[in-house]
Amino acid sequence: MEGVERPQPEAKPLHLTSEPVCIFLWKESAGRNRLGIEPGLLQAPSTGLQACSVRAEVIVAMKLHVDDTVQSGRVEVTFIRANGERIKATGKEGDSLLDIVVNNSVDLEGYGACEGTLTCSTCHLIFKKEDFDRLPDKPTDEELDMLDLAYDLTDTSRLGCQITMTKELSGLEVQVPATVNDARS
Amino acid sequence: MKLLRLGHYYSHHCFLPRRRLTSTVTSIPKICIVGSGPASFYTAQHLIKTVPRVEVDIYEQLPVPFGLVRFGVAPDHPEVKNVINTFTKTAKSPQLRFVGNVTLGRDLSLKELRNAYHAVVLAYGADKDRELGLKGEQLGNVVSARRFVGWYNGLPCDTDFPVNLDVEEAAVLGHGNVALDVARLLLTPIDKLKSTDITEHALEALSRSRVRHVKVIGRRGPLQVAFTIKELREMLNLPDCITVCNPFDFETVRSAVPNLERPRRRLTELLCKAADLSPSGNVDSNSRQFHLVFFRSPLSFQPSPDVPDTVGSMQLEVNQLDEQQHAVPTGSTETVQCGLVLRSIGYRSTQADPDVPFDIDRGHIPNISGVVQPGLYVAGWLATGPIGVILSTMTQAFGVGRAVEADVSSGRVDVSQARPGHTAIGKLLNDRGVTTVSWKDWERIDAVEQSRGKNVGKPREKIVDINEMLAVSVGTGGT
Repeated sequence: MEGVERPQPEAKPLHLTSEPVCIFLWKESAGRNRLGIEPGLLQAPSTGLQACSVRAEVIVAMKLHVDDTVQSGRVEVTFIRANGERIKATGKEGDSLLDIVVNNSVDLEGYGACEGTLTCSTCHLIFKKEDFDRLPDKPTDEELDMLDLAYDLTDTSRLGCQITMTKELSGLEVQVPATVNDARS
Repeated sequence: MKLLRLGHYYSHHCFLPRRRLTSTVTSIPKICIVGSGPASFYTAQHLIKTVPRVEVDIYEQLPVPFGLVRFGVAPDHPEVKNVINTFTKTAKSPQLRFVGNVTLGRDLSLKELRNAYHAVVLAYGADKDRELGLKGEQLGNVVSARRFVGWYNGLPCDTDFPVNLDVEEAAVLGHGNVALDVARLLLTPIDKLKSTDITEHALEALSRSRVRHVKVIGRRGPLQVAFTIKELREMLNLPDCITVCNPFDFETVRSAVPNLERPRRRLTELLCKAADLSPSGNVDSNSRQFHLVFFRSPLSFQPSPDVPDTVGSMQLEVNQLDEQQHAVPTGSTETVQCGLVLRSIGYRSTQADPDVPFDIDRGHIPNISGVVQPGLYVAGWLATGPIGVILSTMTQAFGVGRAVEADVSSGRVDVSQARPGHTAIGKLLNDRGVTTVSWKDWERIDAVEQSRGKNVGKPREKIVDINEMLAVSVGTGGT
């Protein structure tokens, strides 16, 4: 089985952000697809209509005008696994990093076990020093208590469920510690 | 199906070496897991995600799933139970089958499971507790904290647990999270428990409890406690409850703080803060009190002068630490009054079946990263011993899932020959007259529990009787 890609979920609904102008089909690859659009965008959650089923390995359908990131309130986050794999995901201002992982179905096994109630440390993320310093809210004692149980704890660790995205934080890059996730590396 | 396979063969056979053909007709990998707690569900989740076409069957001793998430996690920690949502998603996968009310070693043997499945994962946890082996331990009201937890959480075998709360002084032996859980339950204002999923019989008994003072006693010092900081902070924040420590226990602790790793440092700082805030001199004996007692080991239990077959006091040995941080007796002893003693010095696993390789001394199954041998695996506390929070169990269980996946894909576990899986085991259970509980059956129990809870303002009212669970599971147990 070596070299075979991880099997993808059978089918998941794809939500579009507005009326599709035109539907295109293409094959999604691990990095960028044929239209040069990041896969994260394909899963952008929104109030829009449900366009079709997605078999992520095979064919996805999406509207031509994919310009959601420039739409107001959209934010972008890149999750970096310990093996270096980068996963770009989008959300809206006010989303927590846990919301963004869940809404984008980012495949981080076991992430957010207690569903954002500050009773586990499975949504542990490691920030760059400069990002850590500019996060608007400092960690509470309760967050630090849970972080203390995390593996690979660093001085710039936070729980993803406690980080609320702002426009200023859009483009953030965060490290996912190896022990919780990245089961295959 | 056959046509498809033939088509596949004809389109490829001229390009592929002949042995590749077998891989196109590989049977479905069939794996069973014994137990349905976090270790089981996290292993199952990983297997379904990584092993193509795998079928996972979970066999659970009780008619209801989730192990210690249901029967261990304290009722006032409902958030921790959110993991059940993820487990339920896994359980609803067409690749997973839940079979409840089946006991390994009684209804089924390990040999039978190993013959029926390509791989067996044992994850039945640690459901016995360690005893002290001390004089007077058999006295009434010297009880297991584990069974006390089972009693307030609705574990069927602990429903009639004999505990008398008509006493003022209680002692908990041990400095782990279970010790703090039971101390907290004893000292929490009853109104705060009414809206939890605590069992009705425990709520009723706790509402009449006279316990006001709880001593949580450990044989070593503040730097060696095993409980975690969140549980300690909860104790310090309990309404109408005073925390009492002996400042002498902290004399050498403060100087060690700066050199500690962050988690231990923060925990120790909080302990020091509790010691600083601890009242000096006499405390109003009517107040609820949480005493953190260090450097004491129990020596013996003495009967109460009023009720001779029940504990009334306990003799403690005073310890100090040697250079390896082991507790060694100083030679002096002291006596404390206690009408209730809860022993919380660790859980241990049992050998469910004579074929289970078991280390009796350590109370677990010897393994390397969850592998006992190719085809036999162990997950959770049965593998590691009873330590760590759900995160540690999750990480270990994912590791077991990886090990199984690696053995299947490398051929160390041969899945080329079909195994009957549940077809054979289901027939065996049926022949033996075992009533089994499916996931759909559990959903019926779940719905009844939730609706009964709703009537009394609780998230659920747990059914504590196995026969009633079985009746409700087939829709004949009322609402």
